[in-house]
Amino acid sequence: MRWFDLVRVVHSTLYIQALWTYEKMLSVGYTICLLPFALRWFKDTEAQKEFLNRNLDFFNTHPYMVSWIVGASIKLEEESQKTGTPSLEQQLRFRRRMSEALAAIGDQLFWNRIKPLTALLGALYALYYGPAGIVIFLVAYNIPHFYHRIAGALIGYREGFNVMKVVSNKRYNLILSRLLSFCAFIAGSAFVLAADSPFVTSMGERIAFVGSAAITLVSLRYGRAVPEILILLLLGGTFIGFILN
Amino acid sequence: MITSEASLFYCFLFGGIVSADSDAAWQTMISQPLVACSVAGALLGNVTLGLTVGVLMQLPFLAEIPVGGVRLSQSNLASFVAALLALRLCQAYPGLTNSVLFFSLFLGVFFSWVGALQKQWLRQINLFIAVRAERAVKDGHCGRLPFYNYLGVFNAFLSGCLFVAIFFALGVNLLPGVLDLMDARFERAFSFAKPILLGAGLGAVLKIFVKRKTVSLATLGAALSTLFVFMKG
Repeated sequence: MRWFDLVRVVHSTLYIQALWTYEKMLSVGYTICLLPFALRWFKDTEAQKEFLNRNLDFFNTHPYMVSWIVGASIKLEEESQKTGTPSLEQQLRFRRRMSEALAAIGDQLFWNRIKPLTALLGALYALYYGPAGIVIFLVAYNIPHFYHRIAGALIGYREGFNVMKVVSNKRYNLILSRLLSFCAFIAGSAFVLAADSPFVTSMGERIAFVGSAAITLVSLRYGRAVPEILILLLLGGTFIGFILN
Repeated sequence: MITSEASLFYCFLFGGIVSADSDAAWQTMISQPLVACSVAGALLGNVTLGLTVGVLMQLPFLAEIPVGGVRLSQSNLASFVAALLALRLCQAYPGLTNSVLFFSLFLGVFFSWVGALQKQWLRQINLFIAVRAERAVKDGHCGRLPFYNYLGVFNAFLSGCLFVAIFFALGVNLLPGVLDLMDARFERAFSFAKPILLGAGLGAVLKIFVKRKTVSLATLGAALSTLFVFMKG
C-alpha cells in the first residue's frame, strides 16, 4: 500500500454510510473502503472480484471507528497474501470481533458523550455570545472525529492484529468513565447558566424552563419520543401562558 | 427586505447538504440544527434568528441516539425548515415575532416526526442501489463501486432538497392563515416557547449525562454556577 492509497481509504470512510441498508448495514461502504487496496494489490480482475466479494457480507460498526478495522484488515490481507497467515477464517473472526467492540465504544464515545457535550457547550456559548458557539461546536467535535478517521487507518494499517490493544475496551472504558463525569459536571453548570440566559428572563419563564426540563427528563426515562414530548410541552406551556396572561 | 427567490433556492440546496451530512456522508455536524439554522439565517439575512432556532432545536434532539438501525425523527432537516419558516415569516409579520417563532418551531417539531418516513424511503432507494453495487462486484466491475456509492450520497442530497422545498412550501402557505388570527394576548403567551424548548433541551442533556454515580458532580456543577451567577449579580 502506498501512502496515497491510505489517503483514499480515509476519504472512502467519509462515505461509508452512503449505501446503508437494514439488510447488510455498512457492508457495501466497507467494501468500497477496501477498493484502493484491491486495485493496488490484485492485478487481475478475478482476484479483485474474489477479495471484494468475500467482504460484502453483513458488516456493522460505528462509522467513525471503521477506519481502525479497514486499516488492520488491509494489513492482515497483505500478510496473508505474502505468508499465508492469518487464514481467511481468522481474518473474518477479527473483523467480527473488532466491529462489535468498536460499535459499542464508538456509540458511547461519540453519540453519548462527545456530541451532546460539544453541542451543549456550543449552544450555551451561542446563547450568551452569538455565532462563535457554532465554531466551538464544530471544532471541538471534529478533532476527535477526524482523529479516529485518520489515525484509525494509519495505526490500524501499522499494527494489524495488535490494533486490538490500541483500541481496547479497557482503555476506552477509562476514557468513557472520566468523560461522563466531566459531562455531568458541565450539564449541571449549563442548567443553571441556561436558566439565567437571555432566553429566560421572567420568573414565569424560569418556571416554564425548569418544569419542561423535569417533564422531558421523566418522559425520556419512560421511553417517550422527543417530538411527542416537545409538541405536548409547547401546547401545554402556551395554554398556561395564555391563561396567565 | 423580502427574501429573494435565489436565496431560497440556495437554502433548498443547503437542505440537500444537511441531508447528506446527517447520515450518508462526512457527518461533520454541519447538518446539526445549531449550524444549519444559522446558515439559513445567514442566507436569508438574519443570523440571530437562525441561531435562536438552532439553539432551541439542537438540544432536545440530542436524546435521540442513532445506534444500529433505530428509527429516529428527521430532526436536522425539520429544524432547518423551521428556521427558514421563521426567517421568511418574520419579515411579513414584524410585530408577531413570538407567534412566528412558536408556529415555526411547532411545525418544525411536527415535520421531524412525519419526516421519519423520508428516511425510510431513502433507505428503500439505498437498497435498490446497494443491490446493483453488489451485482457489479459479482460481475467483476469493481471500478463501478464508487459510482454507486456517490449515487447513494446524491440520493440523500436530492431527498434533502425535496424535503426542505416541500415542507417549506407547506408551512409558508399554511402559517399566514393562522398568524392573521393572532393578537397581542397570543403574542405574550407564545413568549414561553423559548424557555420551554430550552428547558426540554437541558432535560434531554441531563438524561444523557446524569446517572446514579454522576449525580454528585452534576450537583456540584450546578452549585458552582449558581455561585457564579450570584457573584455576577
